[in-house]
Amino acid sequence: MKVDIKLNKGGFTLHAKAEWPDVGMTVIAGPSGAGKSSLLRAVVGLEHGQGQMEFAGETLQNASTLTPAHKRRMAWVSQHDDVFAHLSVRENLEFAVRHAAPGGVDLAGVAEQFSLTRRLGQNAGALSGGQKQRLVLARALLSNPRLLALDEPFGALDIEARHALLGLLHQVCEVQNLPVLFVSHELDTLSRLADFMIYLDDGKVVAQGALNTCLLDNRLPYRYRDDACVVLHAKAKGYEAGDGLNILEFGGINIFTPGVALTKGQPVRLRIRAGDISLSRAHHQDSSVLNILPVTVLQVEHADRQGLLPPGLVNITLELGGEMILARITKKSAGNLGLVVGGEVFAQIKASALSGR
Amino acid sequence: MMEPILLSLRLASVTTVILLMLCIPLGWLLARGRGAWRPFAEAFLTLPLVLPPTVLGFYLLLLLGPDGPLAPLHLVFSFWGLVVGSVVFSLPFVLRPIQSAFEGISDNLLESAASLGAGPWHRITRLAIPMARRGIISAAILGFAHTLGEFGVVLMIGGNIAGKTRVLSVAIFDAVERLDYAMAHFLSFGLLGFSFAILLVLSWLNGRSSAP
Repeated sequence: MKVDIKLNKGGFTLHAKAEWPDVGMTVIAGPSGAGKSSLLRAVVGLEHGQGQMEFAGETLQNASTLTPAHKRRMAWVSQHDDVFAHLSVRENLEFAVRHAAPGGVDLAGVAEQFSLTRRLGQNAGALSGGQKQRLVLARALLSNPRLLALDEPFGALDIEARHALLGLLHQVCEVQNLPVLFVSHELDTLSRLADFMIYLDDGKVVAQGALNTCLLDNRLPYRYRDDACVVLHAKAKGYEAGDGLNILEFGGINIFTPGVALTKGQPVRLRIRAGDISLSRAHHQDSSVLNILPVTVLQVEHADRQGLLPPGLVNITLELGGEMILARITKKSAGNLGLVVGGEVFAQIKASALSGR
Repeated sequence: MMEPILLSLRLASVTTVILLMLCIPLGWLLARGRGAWRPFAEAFLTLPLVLPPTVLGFYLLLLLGPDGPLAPLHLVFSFWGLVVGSVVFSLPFVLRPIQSAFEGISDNLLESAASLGAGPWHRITRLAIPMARRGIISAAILGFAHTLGEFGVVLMIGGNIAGKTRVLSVAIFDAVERLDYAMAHFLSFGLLGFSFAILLVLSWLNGRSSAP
């Protein structure tokens, strides 16, 4: 998707120029008031600024044409639970089916997936918050869209319900090969879903690129946060049933993560938090950490321009299996280890496998 | 004796149907419109609420009368003349509840529907109107009741022709003038009871809509 759009809204100007893949999950991130929701609304055709917009080789907007929202086939889910409260759950879903392009998904199957089967006859206005969120998502999928556009999905849900729904969303969109564009300012949500990131600040695109590139970008806040992390794409290679450990592989590197068995060959998101990496000069056999891997120091960052890195701590960018990862250690330890760019050390890594790719 | 009652009911029914057909699109435009025309249109359409019926009747008479631009329609002193007068007179009573019902529908809902592929026509007919149904029913009841009770406009453009334009309110006036208090009582009390019943239904409807 290619966007170059200018939008004035009550004194605020969004001037976004961005380009992202027509496949996978793309997050629009940034601080509040940056224009994230406005950009999402412009993409689905609910805001009309000036400029150009192109999706899957088709012009949605330029100087002479503007495709209206109802002809774009981009299902938009707002932050509010927009159920049609005067209709039953089934009628809500049928509304989407009736207006969908042919070749859609079947209602009963989607209702089952989103645990709505027992509620089909119920009035949609009487559902709980979580059920409403499932309903609007199921309804959006039943409209057989070319793009799913989500504004802060599931922000109001508690963390467990949100993770469950994010997992389901990921799975469904992958099976249907449905691209998703979503707004989120939460690192937890975007690290679980996104493949690509567009970072907005004050109405402008500050950075855009693959998720990991952006998580490590020194113009963005992510690498300086307490919960800074990287997300790597690995494959399930095997399972040690006795120990309950999955063996994941990427770039010729094996990583152990505890959990239920993953299907062999299944793509997995591997999230490694900067705080969960410690470094040592030698390969300690007596450590409780399972993953002790040789890494190369690419950068030692003592202070950043934004002043976000807490004093006493440093960010170490490392190379592992052809990927970049980030370690957060104390300045004192970095000094003791004598870390230099290009130096080889061992990283002790605790990693967690997230659902999906 | 029954003639004025039936005439009033017929007038109120016809007027209500016409007003609904007018006020649903008008209410939608006023609720969703953003242009500079909106306040002017709103003020103009609310005028019948504040003007004395005689003023409305007078201008309608000029418009429909023998020297007026609509004279060829022969509406003065006819049933359809009364309908025109009643439509104008009761318009704000029907328009207001419909407009506010449409205003109460969140933009998000209609935008969600658009992104699901529903065009403007389906968003109005399948979502907005069903969602605003309580407001529309209230509007219909108010319009009906208000038309039943009108007097000034009717007298100005309809006169007092038995079977044609002598509606309930005019018949009551007539009876009092003839000192036929028994008839005046009968008609007045009937109208009173009927109006009370209608307002009771309305209040019950509103109570239901504000319940959680």
